[in-house]
Amino acid sequence: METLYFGLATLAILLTLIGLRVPIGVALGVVSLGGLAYVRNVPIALSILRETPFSFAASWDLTAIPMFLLMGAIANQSGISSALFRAARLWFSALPGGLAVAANMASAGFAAACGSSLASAAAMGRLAIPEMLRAGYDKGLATGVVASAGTLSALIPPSILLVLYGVFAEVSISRLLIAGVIPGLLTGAAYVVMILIRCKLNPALAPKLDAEDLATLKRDRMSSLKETWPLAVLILGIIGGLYGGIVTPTEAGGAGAALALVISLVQRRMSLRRFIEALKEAMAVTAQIFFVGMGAVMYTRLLSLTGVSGLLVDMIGGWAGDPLLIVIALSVIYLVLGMFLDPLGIMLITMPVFLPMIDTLGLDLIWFGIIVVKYIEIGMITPPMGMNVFVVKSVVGDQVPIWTIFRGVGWFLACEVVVMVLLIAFPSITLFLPDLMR
Amino acid sequence: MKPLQKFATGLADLLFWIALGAGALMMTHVTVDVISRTLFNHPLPGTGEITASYYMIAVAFLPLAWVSWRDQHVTADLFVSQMGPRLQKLVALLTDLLAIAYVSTFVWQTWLSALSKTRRGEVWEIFGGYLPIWPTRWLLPIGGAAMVLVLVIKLLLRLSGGDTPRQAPDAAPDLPSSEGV
Amino acid sequence: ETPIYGSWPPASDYLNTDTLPAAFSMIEEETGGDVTWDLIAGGQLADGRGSLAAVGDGLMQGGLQIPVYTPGAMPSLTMLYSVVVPGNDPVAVAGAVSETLFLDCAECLAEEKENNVLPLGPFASASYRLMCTEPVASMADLKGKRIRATGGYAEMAAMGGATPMAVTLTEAVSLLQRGGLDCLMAAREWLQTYGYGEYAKQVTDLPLGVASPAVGLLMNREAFLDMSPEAQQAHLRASAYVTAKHTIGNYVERDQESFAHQQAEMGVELVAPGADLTAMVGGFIEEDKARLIENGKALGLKDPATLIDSYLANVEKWRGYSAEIDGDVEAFAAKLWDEVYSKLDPSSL
Ligand code: NA
Ligand code: NA
Repeated sequence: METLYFGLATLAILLTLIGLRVPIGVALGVVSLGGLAYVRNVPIALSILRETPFSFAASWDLTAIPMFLLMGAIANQSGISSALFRAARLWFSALPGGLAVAANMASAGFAAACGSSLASAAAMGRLAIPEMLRAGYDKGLATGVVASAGTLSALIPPSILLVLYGVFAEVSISRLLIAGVIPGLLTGAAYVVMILIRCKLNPALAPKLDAEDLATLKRDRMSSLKETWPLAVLILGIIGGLYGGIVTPTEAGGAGAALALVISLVQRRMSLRRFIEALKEAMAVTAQIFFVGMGAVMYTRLLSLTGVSGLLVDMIGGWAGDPLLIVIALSVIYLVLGMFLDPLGIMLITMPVFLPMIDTLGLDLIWFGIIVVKYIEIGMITPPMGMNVFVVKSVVGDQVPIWTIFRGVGWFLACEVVVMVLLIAFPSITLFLPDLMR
Repeated sequence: MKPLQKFATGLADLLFWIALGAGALMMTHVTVDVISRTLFNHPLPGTGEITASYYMIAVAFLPLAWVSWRDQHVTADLFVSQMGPRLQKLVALLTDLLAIAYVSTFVWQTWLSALSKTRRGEVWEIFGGYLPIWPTRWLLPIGGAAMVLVLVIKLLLRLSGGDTPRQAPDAAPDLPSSEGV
Repeated sequence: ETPIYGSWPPASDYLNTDTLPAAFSMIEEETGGDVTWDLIAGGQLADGRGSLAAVGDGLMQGGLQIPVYTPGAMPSLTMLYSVVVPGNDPVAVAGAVSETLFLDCAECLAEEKENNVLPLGPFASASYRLMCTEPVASMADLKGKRIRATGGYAEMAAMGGATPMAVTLTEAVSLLQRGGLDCLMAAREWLQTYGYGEYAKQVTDLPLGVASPAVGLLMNREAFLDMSPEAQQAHLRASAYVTAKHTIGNYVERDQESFAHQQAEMGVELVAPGADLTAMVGGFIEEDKARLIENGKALGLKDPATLIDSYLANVEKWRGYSAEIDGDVEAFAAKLWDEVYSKLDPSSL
């Protein structure tokens, strides 16, 4: 029992520090050091800070983080995201809530070039939100759709979170990435259906375009599709490289970034200045991620060393022999953690605890990976700490209050309930594509 | 104060630019390895190890000061925005001190580590020999020390009232560096 | 006392399911419950490269160490463990490593002291084999093949005109499947553990040699010296047991069992080696000596040649013992005790 109290106490201190706007990486590190000094001694606590940061970052597998970020940043700098949104706008604007549908579709497309939901939300936010606000769309809808559709990037490959999961769970990363495709598309489809129904029932949410505008839309549709070829080439290049045995999933990051650069050069859309901007964006985010990551790894070590991890496994395992109950219990845990912690932290803290359990139960680790990433992404849009919402907020500035964005996201969370029930009840939705690969 | 500030921003920029170079090299090296292996049956020895120990370390730790200067570390706000301005100031001060203490400890410990690895000449085995790893151990204390310097200057600036308050009450942190997005 | 063993292989690994639990219950019994080890598996406390520092710093008191992961920290041990010993006798190699390490290599123990650790429970893995997507019987077949291989085996592959590739164990599967890799040089057991058996179905029936073993019970030196003499004896006995149990249980018995299973269930086939390939592998150790000595010097060793020679001499001696031991764990542990551990003074370690 003492162990459990210790675990809870460290979690409480951690959340308090985070709540006081201590950088999350610092909060995780300080709690880990303090906890270790308390249960062991100061020299041992210090030793963890001596070795963990280097050994965590010096990882070949994790090169996917900067490289997937760079690929997305290059794709964005070279105009892939704006071409996508332009095409989606022309094709979907006539529908109820057409611009929101278009933002959603463009996000799904951009997800195929971008590995992180934050980067995707930032890119689409800049393109789609001003347009929707200009057209008189409901502010909650306009911002909510971008924050939510950003999460598709973590499911539709490439995906940093899926790579991380694959590293920890020691499962095939190429199978994992393929497994994300259908759940990602399913989520996007659920969003579209919800937007259509809401805007049909309440046209005030999304004012319709006038007839003249609609006519011009039709005229430019075909030509707009031509602009999206770079994305098609990028996707085909990466899939071809993986299936041809030319690149490994890890190398797909670096080679994919290089391919995106070549495509943008062919398009004459890349300059040195833009390439440097892309690098700046990708490397700054990488450092942010690793600063949190090294803290999260140290916190994981503290929890394992003090037996909290083992205790949790025993508790949940003993409490419910039924895999379904365990999955439900894990769902609750992920939803609660997702409210407060950041994606990498959740992944690092929960993986060593839950993976052995899932493995023992005989559940499919690929399927579980998709469930975990879905929950983590849901956490990105739930209050009080919804990273995607923060990104959108930073894009819109003072125009839209943060709680309006959270309210707008609420409808998308309702879709997630449906999607999660389907994914948990029917693992074949997830496993269909990877099983074809065998 | 001004010259110190100039030095700190210059250092942050320099380290960040090295990280950008490492990022570009990472992409290039991995791609060249794939091409050379596929077309000429000749993989470059040590690509994985060089990427992991040099480029990754540079990319993970050298931008820390640059990121700190722009307040881009991942944070969340649960209670602070509800506090009065005086309390907010106090909390911000304590937060900064905690961050400075933590990163200073990081610098101290990674410095010790770099010293001992240098003394032993740390290497990793790659095909055809050994790759020296000890030089990149120094990137951690260097990146961390630059971050401490930036944090201290920002704190001093705020204490002397020379800086605008960090955030409007309702604002969220500018999370992924949004330059050029 | 409840020292902690932080193990980086997954919980399902033989080390975590069989070898260590048995060794720890031996220690508990022998010390009357005074020392009960706690096993935390799956790399939660340190990864493969970080285990040496984590044990030396006392974050954990025990761990699994692969010396070649940190060559600079333990040059002599790295040197020993880089030798690809010809043949297919892990018992002889594990015995020879134990004897060389504790009795014939003062530098080894000095290096360990400097890292604040004790190299208990060193073991040897099974002989590696060439496992390919299509049959490789001759030097002509081998030429130009892309082979996942590390350390001395990578040199062997290069000597045979193949291209050694450094891909991670998990990446290798998808590359094999899609033609990015033609072969692996690996223990046969990996066909099952890492799922290579689905693609690398052609196993050349030629042991490439035994190398890259690990230290199974690397211990924090202070933690050991702080223990009572009885507890120290118990740990030395456990050390012999870990060596015996893991070498025989995992790398002799399991290697054979899982390979038989792969042959029966997955259609894995044996390929008879041609004379030129056999000759190349047989002559490799002599060819490789120069490289090993040069590497040892690069790591700062004064006399790597003598170390290698005394190690290989011990291997020959232990080949004889291995025939007596005949795959019996208890007999191997007893022999290790008589030949090595009974001659040690624990307080001098
Ligand atoms: Na994606
Ligand atoms: Na949240």
